[in-house]
Amino acid sequence: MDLLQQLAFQGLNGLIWGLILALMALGLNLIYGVLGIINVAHGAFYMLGGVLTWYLWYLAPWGFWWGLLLAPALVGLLGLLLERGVLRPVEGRPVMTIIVTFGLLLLLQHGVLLLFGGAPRSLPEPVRFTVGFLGLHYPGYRLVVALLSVVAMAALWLLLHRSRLGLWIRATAQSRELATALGLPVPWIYLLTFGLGAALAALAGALTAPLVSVSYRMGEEVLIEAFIVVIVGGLGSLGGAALAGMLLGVLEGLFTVWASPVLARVLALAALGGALLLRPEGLLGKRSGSGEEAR
Amino acid sequence: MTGMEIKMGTRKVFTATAVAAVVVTVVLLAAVPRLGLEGYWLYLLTEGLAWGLFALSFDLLYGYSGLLSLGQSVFFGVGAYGAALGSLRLELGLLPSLLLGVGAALALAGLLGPALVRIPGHGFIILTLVLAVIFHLVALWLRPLTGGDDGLSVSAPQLLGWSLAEPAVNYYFVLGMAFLATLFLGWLVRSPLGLAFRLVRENPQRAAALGYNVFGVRLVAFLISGGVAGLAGVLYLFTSRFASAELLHWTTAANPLVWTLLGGAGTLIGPLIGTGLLIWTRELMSGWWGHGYPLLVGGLIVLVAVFAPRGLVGTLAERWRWRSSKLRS
Amino acid sequence: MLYNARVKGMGMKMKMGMEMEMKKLTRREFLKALVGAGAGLALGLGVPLRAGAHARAGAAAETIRIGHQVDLSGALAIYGYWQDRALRAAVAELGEIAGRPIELYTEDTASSPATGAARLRKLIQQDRVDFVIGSQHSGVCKASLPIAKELQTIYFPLGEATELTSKWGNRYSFKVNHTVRSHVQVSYRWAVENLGKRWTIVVADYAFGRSHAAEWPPRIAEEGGEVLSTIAIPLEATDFVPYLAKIDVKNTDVLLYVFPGGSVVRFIEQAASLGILERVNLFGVICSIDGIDTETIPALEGSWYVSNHPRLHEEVPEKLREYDAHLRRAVGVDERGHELGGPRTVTGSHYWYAWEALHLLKRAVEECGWRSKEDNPVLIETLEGLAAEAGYGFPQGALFIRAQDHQGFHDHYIERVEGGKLRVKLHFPKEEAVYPPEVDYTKGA
Repeated sequence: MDLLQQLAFQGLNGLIWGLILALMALGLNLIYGVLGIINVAHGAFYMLGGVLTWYLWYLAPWGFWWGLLLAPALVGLLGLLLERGVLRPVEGRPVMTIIVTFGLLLLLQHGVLLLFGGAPRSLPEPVRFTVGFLGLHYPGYRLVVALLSVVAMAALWLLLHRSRLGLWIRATAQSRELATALGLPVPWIYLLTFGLGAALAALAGALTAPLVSVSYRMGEEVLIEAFIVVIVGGLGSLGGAALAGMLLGVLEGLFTVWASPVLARVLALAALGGALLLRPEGLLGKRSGSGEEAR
Repeated sequence: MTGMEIKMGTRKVFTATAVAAVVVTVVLLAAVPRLGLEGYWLYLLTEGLAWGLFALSFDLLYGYSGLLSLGQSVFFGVGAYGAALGSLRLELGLLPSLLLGVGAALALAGLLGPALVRIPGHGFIILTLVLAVIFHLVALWLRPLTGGDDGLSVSAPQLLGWSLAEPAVNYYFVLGMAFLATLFLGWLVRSPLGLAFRLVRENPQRAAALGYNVFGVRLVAFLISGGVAGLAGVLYLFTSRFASAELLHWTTAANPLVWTLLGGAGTLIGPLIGTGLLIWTRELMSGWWGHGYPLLVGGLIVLVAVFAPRGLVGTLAERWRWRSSKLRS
Repeated sequence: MLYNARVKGMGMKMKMGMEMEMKKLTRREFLKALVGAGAGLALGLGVPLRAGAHARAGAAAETIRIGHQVDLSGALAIYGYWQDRALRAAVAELGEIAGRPIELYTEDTASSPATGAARLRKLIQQDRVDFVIGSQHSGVCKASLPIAKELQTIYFPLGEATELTSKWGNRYSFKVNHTVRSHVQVSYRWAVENLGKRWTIVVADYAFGRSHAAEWPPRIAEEGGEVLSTIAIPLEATDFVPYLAKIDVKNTDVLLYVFPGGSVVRFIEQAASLGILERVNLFGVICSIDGIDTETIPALEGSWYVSNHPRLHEEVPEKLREYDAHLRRAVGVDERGHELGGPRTVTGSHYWYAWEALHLLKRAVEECGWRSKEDNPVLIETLEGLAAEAGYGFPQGALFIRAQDHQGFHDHYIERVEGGKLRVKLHFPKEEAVYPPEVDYTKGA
């Protein structure tokens, strides 16, 4: 491939991963913005999305597509249970939530290890076709992933900005006291938001399951990158998270043209880290320092 | 805490209780090889001392200074690799390698600290995480130097004519170094600087109003923490005689967090006890149900964080304080 | 904190009062601290002290303890699964060595060198095993070899990096299975002649892959070929597309890939979807496909592998068939290489390592009358140069351990995926796998 082809190819690949990251980061951000929880277990929700999809693929015809629907639903349900059962006492204290959700991550990962086993497994891409452009053959399923991610993000935006529930969620994120004073059912909003965030992570996991190996540790890498993306984008800013996610993905892709993928990741992360140093509140962050502390 | 109060302006820095407890502990620990503990458990105890020191370095930053760092594994790993490379490539002896390792960790902390410590709240936490991710990848990428994940094996160094290949020699060396470092930290947290750490943690605005340089205090905490973590890394290297990129991974940085939380943050014994208990549990479980250990730890973390966030020592100390305040009234 | 202000704000009298109270408590607390520290340590250390004594008592008893340092989770879990099953089957079948019952201790390396090395220590020092059969992961083996030497325990690393029996090895380690160099040596001439002269090499970025990256280029050059580029991919990599995009497909005749573990399926499928496999000859070592069901991956059709033992029973040479059938029955594998009553595919070229290692060990122990670790020097001498003929204990075929570097040599094959199945095309006798030794452990160390 010549340089232009390389750039286009790696850049496109990076963009697709960036969209997946954005999906993850959106879920993380919602959970933080509304509940004040820094959810380390988000990586486990992603992994569960992938593992459940694998099981459905293994057990049923058209299993993958069932997986896309059922995995987020089931994981969302799990999220509801966890929020109500375990996380209520620590909400609003972000440092404690890091610790509790880390414990949950361990439990969920190793629970899956017991049932699923230690070896990574694969499932094939549900649709196989290639798209040709610039003399390249690009795997078609990845474009499907990109499309579905965009659809999911658009649906989320519609939910948040065009529905009553979305209004309530945004109000609660602004100020819990005000929302309660207005008579909004805040505990329910918390519940649903956490479930929604978990479902988004599971969707990301389900979508990427055919692209990577499904294993009990599959959420770890994405989790870290999603965290970085959320902070760099600006905690509480959904647009910032999406933007930072795509930026990280594309940068990594572009750097890969000249460097090894490992080095490319280092450089891309360093670039984002640098951005954070220059703008500690994040690219589109709105909160000031005291605002964060108050949570 | 009663019995362990700091007296500002008096010469007695440690109370009789603290000294007694420390002396008893050290004497017992020093007697351990004589009591017949050998082989695997002696090795574990030796390695455990290094990990315990690592946990202390974490607690200095988190429990005392209020900075949650998920990147201390970087300093631990750099310390270990510094000593390893010093011993392998530069053929340095024990103490020069140790100094190289600690020096490298301090230098790195000095380089990164000013930029990191400036960032408030969650940005700092995530940046330390980014640090761990980046440095782990760099360690993998610099394979010719670090051996990547396959790592580097070093041979046992000599100390004054004795070889660290002797388990008892290794143990006494690590015990000695860990004891000195703990003594230093114990003195530090009771000194004016230590008080400054806590003041800055509790109420940065108030501290600034009182004339403290908040940034400077935090930076010093970060530096010392990094240096101690580096020392812990060096001790780990001399004991296991193996360093790999995995040491810098963020999951290695998460361990002291777990140990400190369960033991009790903001105390010095807490992290040590937490480390000891968990490593001991892990070894007990690894034979009959290895995968049970992470499940247990995960469950414990959730329970402790929700019901007893001050950890084992912290909760006990609180009970003690409550009871003795009742006694006094 | 608050007490600070209290001390400063109160008068001298109160300060004095507090000091006196503290002195009163101090004696009580002193005793409590003493008792507490003592109790804590006694409890904490008492258990291990007792456990140590118990283990020592056990070691004097009749059993022979075999430790298995195996990769049950992580990147090489498929290999670990089958090594574990094969070793358990061998233990179940043999039952005893020199009349003493065999006790098996298993520890998981998690496919990590740091963890694997720690587990080895545990096996030797805590479980007091007499011998250890090691990991398939060359990195784990590399980290473990110094420990085996330090603790003077005979160790059978199952990894394949050449350096394991040269640079990194020692007198205590014995390898029943081949090294990378043997694989390269038997096949490189045939490969350059039949598959093509321009190569791109893709390896997993750890000791094993790096060993390949070092061994192939000089020999390819010798035959008039050239290596266009070598690409190293981390073993934990999940998306291979960024790496695959770096392959110069236009000019490559042969794509050599060395990537063990389940993730390789992703690699193959992504390479296929990028159109790479249509334009190159795919050649690999069997580690790149072992444990993977070739029938479900059409993209593998026509690919070539240098292997150690046929996966299909019908492809096994006639004189070995009886022994091969026996092994399959014992471990629970059918004639096509599928797990009986399970979804997995056997690592046909690898799973016999642990089986044969145990049988070889038994033979050596019984031959020299080994009773305890003090007899290790005699056992080492017996193992050096030990040869075995094909049999139930050695279903892969005849094998011999070279004295100087404790390296084993056995037959190899070239297999090709045809109709979804691995078919044997060539068979190399073990003599062709032999290369000059680089070290001589018989001279000490």
